[in-house]
Amino acid sequence: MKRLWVVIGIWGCISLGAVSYFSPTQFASNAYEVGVGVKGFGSNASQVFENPAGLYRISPMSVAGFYTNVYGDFNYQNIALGYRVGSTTVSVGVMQLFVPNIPTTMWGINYDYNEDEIMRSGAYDYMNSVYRVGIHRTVLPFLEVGLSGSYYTTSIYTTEGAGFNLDFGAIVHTASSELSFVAENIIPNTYVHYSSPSGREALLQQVRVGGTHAFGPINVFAQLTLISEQDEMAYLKNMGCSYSPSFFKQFLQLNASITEEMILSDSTSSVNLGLTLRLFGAQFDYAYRKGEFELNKNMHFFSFSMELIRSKS
Amino acid sequence: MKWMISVLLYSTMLFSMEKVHLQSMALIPTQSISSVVVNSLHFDSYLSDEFTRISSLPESNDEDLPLLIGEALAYPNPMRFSKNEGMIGYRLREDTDITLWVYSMTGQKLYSRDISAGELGGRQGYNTIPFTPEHLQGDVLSVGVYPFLILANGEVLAQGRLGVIP
Repeated sequence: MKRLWVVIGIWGCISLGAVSYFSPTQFASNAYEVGVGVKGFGSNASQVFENPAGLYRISPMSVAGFYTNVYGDFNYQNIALGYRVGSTTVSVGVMQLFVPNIPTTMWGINYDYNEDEIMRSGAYDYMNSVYRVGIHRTVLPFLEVGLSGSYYTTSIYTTEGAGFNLDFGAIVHTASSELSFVAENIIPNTYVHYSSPSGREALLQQVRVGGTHAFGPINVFAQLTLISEQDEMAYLKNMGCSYSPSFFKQFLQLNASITEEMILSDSTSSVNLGLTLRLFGAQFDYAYRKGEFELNKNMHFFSFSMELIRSKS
Repeated sequence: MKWMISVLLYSTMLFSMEKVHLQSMALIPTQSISSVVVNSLHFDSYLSDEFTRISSLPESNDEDLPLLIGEALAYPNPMRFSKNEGMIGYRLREDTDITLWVYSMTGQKLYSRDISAGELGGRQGYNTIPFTPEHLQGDVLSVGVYPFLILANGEVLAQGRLGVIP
């Protein structure tokens, strides 16, 4: 075990001296996982963004979508499609953050005051996209492994950026427990390269280890994330639980969690509440998080998934 | 006879007008003609609607104006934050205690700064406050867009967006 942490530590420290790239998948990719506070335990095609090994849970064919809006004009959205044949699942997905109409500015004279000040001179958009392809395979009845490839693109003003990397995931499961492991951006020294002006940002390397255990109608979740960012290693701890009332069987699930997030060199924590509805192969998820934006502190997350082909079981 | 008197009077009048014109031209140095024209235009506008506009120029301490006049904008936008370029500008009606909050792309506050009334950033008139890695203890913002708020006494006066490029 000690050796494993040393290897992870060395791998994590490889990309030094560059600003970290912001990927929208770091925020959230489905409302269910916002509610329970951990990543890699969802049961639809959006697992391609979290843990490719988690694709083992999807029905033969699944489609999933996600949407949230922050600040009124920061739109996060994704769509993913997964298809399972025997012990192998393939999934593709795209996730985007889009912010429209950011003002470009210049110095000009304000004739009302006969004084120079900053003025609007136009507007531009910001688009950050992740295109991901994942494959999962059941290696043993209790062991799932997965690999996904990510293509990152960013467009802001006249600047374009692009980069590529891989994620590896594994899941060990029993009847009432699961253990999830993900290593994101496993190719060391990879960057998103920008043009005009030129520059680069390191793809954030992180390892997530999470687990869940069922105590009757209550599931508890825990996750530890090890992040290598700007020459530093950081740990984030997430905890959550879900409750499925017996009289609603599997139709309704209530979720709650406390999560930590990296903000520059510090971490900040949030409380999340969630609701899951399952009906005829469709799943609706909603999650709520209290943000810190003074004009609107309520953050709402929505996701939807559907089994296009129902599993025979 | 009447006809002759009329011609005489008319020619005298023309001559006197020409004389006045020549006299005025002689008084105006060639290099200052443009300024005279400008002044003359100003004078015209003084007599017309322009006067109304000029006389109703907003004064920075007019109580009817909002505390933050106009909008708060970042410059340049987008900015090369890692190159230490970046500022936020806004106009205040009067000296006021100001708070600046900058947010991450995920809804969390990443920078907070309090500025006292009378200091740069809290003065009556136009204010620019720098926003560089120095203000984030050396941390550099990733490429993206960051919202910011300007507040006074807990009330949001303005919001804006600042873009960061590499």
